[in-house]
Amino acid sequence: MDKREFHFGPGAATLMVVVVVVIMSIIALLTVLSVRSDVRLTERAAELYSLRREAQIAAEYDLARLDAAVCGVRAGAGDDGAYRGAVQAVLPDGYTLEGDIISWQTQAGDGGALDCAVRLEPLAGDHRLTWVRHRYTSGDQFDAE
Amino acid sequence: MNRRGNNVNALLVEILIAILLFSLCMTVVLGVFLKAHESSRNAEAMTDAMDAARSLLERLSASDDASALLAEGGFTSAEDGSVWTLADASGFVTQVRFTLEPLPSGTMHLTDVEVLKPGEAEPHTSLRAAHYEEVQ
Repeated sequence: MDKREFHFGPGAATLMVVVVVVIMSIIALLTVLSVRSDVRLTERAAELYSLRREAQIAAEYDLARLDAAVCGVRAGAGDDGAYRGAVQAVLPDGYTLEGDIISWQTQAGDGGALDCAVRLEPLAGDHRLTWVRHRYTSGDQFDAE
Repeated sequence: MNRRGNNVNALLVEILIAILLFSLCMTVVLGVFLKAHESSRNAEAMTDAMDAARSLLERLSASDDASALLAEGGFTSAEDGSVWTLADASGFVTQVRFTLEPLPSGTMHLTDVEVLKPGEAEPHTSLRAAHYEEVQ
């Protein structure tokens, strides 16, 4: 009967250790890379949100600047038509008046923009300006083809 | 017989050296795993803090009575009601500060939300919202 013996030859233990260490090192490296990606993604998300918040704050200051201009002509306007004309004349650069809607864009730090619009309320109204649109448009261009 | 004994000794020495080498390498590899775990936990804490601050800021922006909302949420305020603070179970401190900025035709209401990590001077997360209110 052919009986074969198992021999644990010289170098086998070292070879096994080397293989296990290499595998563990690769797993550790992949773990580190994965965690780094997670950290970068978290930081990027926080940065993007902060940039959009800054754009919203800038839009509120743009509204304040517009309101200061509107406020200056409101007292002297006789009727709504004259009021709109006077507002058109004093609109700061970058603002457009169409009907009773004043619109402008506030740039966000991430390349996008806030598309803003307010309604110019009639002289008889309680308010001068009312928000009607406050929409973020991404700066990233997506080509479907 | 003597030759077989030498072989066994050499094998034992090799196994001992292999165990030593394995232990040293595993010490380094486990250190890397621990560091990765720590980084992962920090990223998780940062995400949680950011989400909490963002959620709070959105709710404050949408609320008509920010003070009531904060009081309901367990925040305590300073005497003038401009600074509200909440310390959670994990030691993070959330601070809300209200500031009024007078402008030519109205007032800018500024709300700052800061999440402070225990033992750190710089805020972990800092967000700001603004709301313009015209004056008649």
